[in-house]
Amino acid sequence: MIDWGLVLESTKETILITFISTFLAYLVGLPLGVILNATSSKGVHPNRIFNSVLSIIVNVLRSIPCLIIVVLAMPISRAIFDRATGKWYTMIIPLFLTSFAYVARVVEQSLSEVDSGKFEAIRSLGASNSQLIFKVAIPESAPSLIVGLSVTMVSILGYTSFAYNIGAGGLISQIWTFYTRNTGNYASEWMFWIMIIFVVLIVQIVQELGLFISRKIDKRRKLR
Amino acid sequence: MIEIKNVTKQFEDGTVAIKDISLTINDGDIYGILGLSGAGKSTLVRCINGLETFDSGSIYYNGTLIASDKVKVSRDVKRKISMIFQHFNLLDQRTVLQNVEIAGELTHQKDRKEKAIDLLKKVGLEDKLKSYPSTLSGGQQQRVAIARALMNNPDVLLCDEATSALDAETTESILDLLKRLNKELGLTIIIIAHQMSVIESICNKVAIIDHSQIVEQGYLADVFLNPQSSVGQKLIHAGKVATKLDDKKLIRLIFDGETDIPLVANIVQDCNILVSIVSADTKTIDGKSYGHIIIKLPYYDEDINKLKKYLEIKKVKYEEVVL
Ligand SMILES: Nc1ncnc2c1ncn2[C@@H]1O[C@H](COP(=O)(O)OP(=O)(O)OP(=O)(O)O)[C@@H](O)[C@H]1O
Ligand SMILES: [Mg+2]
Repeated sequence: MIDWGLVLESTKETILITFISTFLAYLVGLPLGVILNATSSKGVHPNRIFNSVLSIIVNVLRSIPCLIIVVLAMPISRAIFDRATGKWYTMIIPLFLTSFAYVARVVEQSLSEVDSGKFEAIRSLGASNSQLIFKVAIPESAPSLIVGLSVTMVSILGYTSFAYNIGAGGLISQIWTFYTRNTGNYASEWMFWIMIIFVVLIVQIVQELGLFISRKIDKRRKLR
Repeated sequence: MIEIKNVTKQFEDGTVAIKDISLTINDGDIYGILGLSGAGKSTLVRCINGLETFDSGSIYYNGTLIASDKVKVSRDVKRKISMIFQHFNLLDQRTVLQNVEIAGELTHQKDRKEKAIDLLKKVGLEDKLKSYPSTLSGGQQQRVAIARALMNNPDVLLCDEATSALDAETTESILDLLKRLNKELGLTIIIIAHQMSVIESICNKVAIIDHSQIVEQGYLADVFLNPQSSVGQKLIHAGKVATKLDDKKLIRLIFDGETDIPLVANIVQDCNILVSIVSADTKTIDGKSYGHIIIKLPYYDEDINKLKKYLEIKKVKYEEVVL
């Protein structure tokens, strides 16, 4: 017996949670990553103290386990949505909070791959720091930023499993629920495998699409 | 005119990269800067356009102070003092045209596209406007970098080993371009190079830096003909042909129509052996040489062996002649 209604509903929830959380995480994480990169010793505006402080904050945020953030985020969700559990959107705030610091690091890493010679060359043409960021750092690392985006999305999708703890739905959470209700025969149920296949498909699509777009926009000569 | 006065720069790790350097570069000069690796050449040049700050001294540009321990090179001055680099430093994700245009984007120039196209024509790349840097040869990439550097109508162009990554032929064509720009636009050029041939072929003046200090400077001919410093002598004589010849032993090269290369010149170039022609009797028929040339043999056995091997490779018949 396959409950297609539930499968599609859960798929929709997973996609919504993942995309909205990723979007919010980038809204904060992207600028944060740019600032981390810009103030690093090799950045366009080195500032050791500021960079160290920000770096520590980001590291601390990143090291809080997701499940703890899920709990800590409840008051925030309640303030915004009037509820902290039971609906897919109550998963957005916790996932956003777990991911934005991670995004900052991913973005910083991509930006740091840009050769410093390019900055020097454009700086020697009289560019300002913000021009260096928007005309050199970001466009030159775009292929790498895209890969980072898809990796982040896959990782956030993985974190949607914690939705089970607050009854917020989504595919992974449904798989677990299905298992707990059918501990004896879950493995012989199509429903179980169909949901797993859907998760794998979403991951594959996000991953491959990221790589495809990255390769497509990258104007460096491909080795191969 | 650029006047560098008593500039000293120490890096955070304590390395004194340049020490009390003073140098004047006049408008229209092509000024060569020579020195062994780590001498401080790049640091000096980067101080001029503010890519590096320094601890004491000052730099004047047309009489105005542009850089000191307190004054930072302004963006307007940077535009007048452009720079090209060893690794070209083009933006990989932009086309050739966009790479040149960027200089105009920074200052919101309206006619930047037309100007960029004009400059790309000047450097001989009008057929590559839509190409991406990774599809260009090194020489072409450096031409793009030169066009980009010219977008702000600079007075001065700094070249930090701009030809070091290029082969001999490409180097020559880039140097020709620089020479042309110097003539046509009155561009002042400061050029760091490791290849002596680069300095020799385009500079009118040269400074030699050793261990962070200038040990010699002046007109190219004066410095090159009679280098005073030991580094100068080392740099300038290195790679020069210096073979002791034997007055007593001669060799006769026989041309039987098989050899049509400029043989003697090639011996000098390929073997690094100086030869001296004692007598020659050759005729050229249908572009082929017949006859013989008698040259003095080198003094040292290793040079003689080198020469003989070379002649064998080139299939030139020879016989030793003893006086
Ligand atoms: N960012 C830096 N931090 C610390 N030391 C540096 C830095 N850049 C250069 N140096 C040191 O300063 C000295 C001069 O370096 P510079 O790059 O100016 O030499 P150079 O003459 O251009 O050498 P090369 O011919 O190898 O390019 C060297 O000892 C070098 O190690
Ligand atoms: Mg150097």
